[in-house]
Amino acid sequence: MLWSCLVQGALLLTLVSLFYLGARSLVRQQAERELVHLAEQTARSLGNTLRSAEISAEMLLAPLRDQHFDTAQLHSLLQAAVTADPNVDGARVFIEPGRLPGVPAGYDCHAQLRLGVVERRCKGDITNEEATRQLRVHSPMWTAPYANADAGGGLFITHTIPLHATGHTLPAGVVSVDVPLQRLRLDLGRLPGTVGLRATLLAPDQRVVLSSTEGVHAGLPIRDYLRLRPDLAPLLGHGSTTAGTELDHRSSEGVRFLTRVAALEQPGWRLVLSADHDLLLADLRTVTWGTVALGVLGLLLWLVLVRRHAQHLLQPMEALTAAARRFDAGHFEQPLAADEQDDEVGQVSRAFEHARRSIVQQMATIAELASARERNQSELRIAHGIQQGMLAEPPQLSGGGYQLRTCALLVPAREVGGDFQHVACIAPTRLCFVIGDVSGNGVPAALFMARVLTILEAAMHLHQHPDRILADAARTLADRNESCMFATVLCGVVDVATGMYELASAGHESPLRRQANGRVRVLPVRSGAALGIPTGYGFPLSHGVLADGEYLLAYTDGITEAQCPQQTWFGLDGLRAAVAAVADDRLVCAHTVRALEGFTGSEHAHDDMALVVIGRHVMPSPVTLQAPATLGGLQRLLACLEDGLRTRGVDGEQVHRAQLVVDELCGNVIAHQRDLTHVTLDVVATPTDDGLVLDVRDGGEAFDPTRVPAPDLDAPLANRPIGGLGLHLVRSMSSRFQYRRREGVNHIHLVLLPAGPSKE
Amino acid sequence: MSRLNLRIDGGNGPYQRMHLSGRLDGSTHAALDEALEPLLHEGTHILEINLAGLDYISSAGLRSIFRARKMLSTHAGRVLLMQPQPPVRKVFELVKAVPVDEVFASQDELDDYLAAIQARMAEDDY
Repeated sequence: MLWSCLVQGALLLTLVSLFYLGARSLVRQQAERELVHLAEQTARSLGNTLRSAEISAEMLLAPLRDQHFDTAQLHSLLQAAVTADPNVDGARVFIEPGRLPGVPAGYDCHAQLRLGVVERRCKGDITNEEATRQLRVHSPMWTAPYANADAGGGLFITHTIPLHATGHTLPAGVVSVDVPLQRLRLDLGRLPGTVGLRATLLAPDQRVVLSSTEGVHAGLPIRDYLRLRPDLAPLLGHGSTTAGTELDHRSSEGVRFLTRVAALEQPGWRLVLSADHDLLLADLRTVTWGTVALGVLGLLLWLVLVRRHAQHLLQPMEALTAAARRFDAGHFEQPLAADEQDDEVGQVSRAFEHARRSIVQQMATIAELASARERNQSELRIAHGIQQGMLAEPPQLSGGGYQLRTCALLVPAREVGGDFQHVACIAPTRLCFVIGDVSGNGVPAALFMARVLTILEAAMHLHQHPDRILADAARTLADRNESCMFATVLCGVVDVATGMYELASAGHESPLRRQANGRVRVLPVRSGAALGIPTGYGFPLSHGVLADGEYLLAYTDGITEAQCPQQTWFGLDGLRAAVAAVADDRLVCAHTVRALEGFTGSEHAHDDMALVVIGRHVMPSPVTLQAPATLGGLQRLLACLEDGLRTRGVDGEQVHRAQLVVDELCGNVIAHQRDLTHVTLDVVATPTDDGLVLDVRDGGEAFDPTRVPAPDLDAPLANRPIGGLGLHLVRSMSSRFQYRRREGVNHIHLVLLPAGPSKE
Repeated sequence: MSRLNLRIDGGNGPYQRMHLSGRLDGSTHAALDEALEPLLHEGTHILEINLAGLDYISSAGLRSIFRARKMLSTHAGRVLLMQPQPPVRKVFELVKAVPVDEVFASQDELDDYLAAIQARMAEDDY
């Protein structure tokens, strides 16, 4: 918009400038022609006036040449000469005494027109000096302007002609006529006054006769005139008589003039006519400024109109743009202003409003759906928690110098699933596990799974053998199973002391057994029918022995049937390979999951997955030590502790920490007990899966180290006491730091944290 | 089994260096205290204790080092610990007995630190 206005303004300015320059050139040419014309005309007019006076003088003179007049007749002639020519206000006849017959005494009279009356003055006695002075005129001539006292001081020029009587060589007298400059001024006064014309009439004697220039008086010599107007020197200087030439010049006041010099018909007479250049162009300028003002006014008017029209056009577009910005920012609440126009903008506007309403409606629907979905998700999360809560922590079982370690995993594909596993102690040395897979997925499978698991749990506490457990559960499940769902289940019982295991399968995958040498076998288990399907058949038992370092791994088909992007199954081979690679039964679950994720390329399971691992290991025996409460005894005790722990495979850093803890606890006894004579130090260190369990006993005075306040480790070093750090070290490196006093013995029980972490 | 070996070099100068090896615990800290005694005066500006050979330290040993540190600090002296083994370093960290920037893993680190200290002292004098 702004640029459009600027361009239009520039165009207007250019057009006005071109118009002005063209018109200026034309006006100037016209003015020059006009000036020439005026100069010529005025010169002609002045020439006519002068010529008229010259003719009057001739007319007065002509009869005197060859006729004889007496004084009275001469008076009449003189009066006639003055009254006949309106350009002539005075006339004079001078005749030398004795030259003409009619006037032997000579004649010297002057007639002057004054207030319409001709007054005549004659001189009686004409002296010789006077005659000589008058008769100097040899040829017709014009005088310089003079003030005529007879005519009230008015300025005059006089044309004088010598009178030659017929047959005489010497002039007998002179005839002259007076032309008032006022008469010539009338000629100049006809010039138009609007263009600041200055006219100057120059006589042949290089004097100014008449001038309309201020300060130039009649009779001024031309050199003085040029001193006032030096800019005219090129036209008039050095006695130049050039006529018909023009000059474009600047006066000493800085005014620019166009000047034309025109010659009168009388030789040597010149009219200098100057026109003010600025005044010549004044009208043009007025017109031009008027045009510019009108143009600017028009442009402003145009701008206002354009702006109003543009606003009319743009307002709906701006409303649309604002709406689009709101949409972009996700705000759809504000409706668009109604646009009833039938143009494109109106159509787009209505389409926008329609789309907005539709989006608002859809968003409301989506919000409702999201709310419902959130409710569902929340319920499913609760269901997930309930289902996971049904899966009890896998127990550890030990006996006969062995321990059974169990590790279980359940990963539902959705929040809840149909896979399950459960491990429980069913006798002091017997561990029972079940793992199963309910037909289908999701909530129905989860509900059925809850029923199956509850029935199996009940059966596990009633029976000691897997076949019986499954048979019992199968009977119960077959009842009231209108939905005809079923579950495949593998049930096993392991005796920790003997390693004997029994397995029974209700249509479930056979478990794997990993031997200590790394070999992985699929155990042959003959299967019965899946639970939930009423049949009369039983569940055959399989037997085996789990040796030290071996483990059983039971799984659901969600693992073997996991697919990679190339649609290949993970399969039994994949699972066997994963199992073969891990000797530690505590790590195999996590390793299998990682292997599966690596295979499928996704962390999200597509089917429910469950794993149960049961490993059997020889229990490491505790290190049991006793020493007298002396520095030497403590040193020996620490040395034996190190040896004992190292032979049980405890790593060096843990041994170091155990030594430090025992050192600090026993060192405290030695340092602070008053009587150590009968005090012994008993230390039992038991390596377990959870860490190294330390039991430290002493028979000294009661002292509860767990009540000692922790030192302020953040205080400036200079303000801290030197001691009090030993128990802090013990606390930092242990969990379950407990004290009790029983039967005169201080008993401290603690578990050393695994190497690495510490409670700083 | 419990043995502490210690060696001192540095003569009578303001910079004393001590090498510890073996075990520093309740039965050996007295030997360290005894060896440190003649060094803990105002003539010692820096006491560098090299722990590269130290296998074990208990709170009794910590106490000795802590005590040396406190005594020297009254004369604006410093105890710097060099190359502690990871278990020993861990113990120092647990009790925060020494600022972390006064335990050095290598001779280069110590040299840089000493250079910085000297530069700062020179600046203060100036």
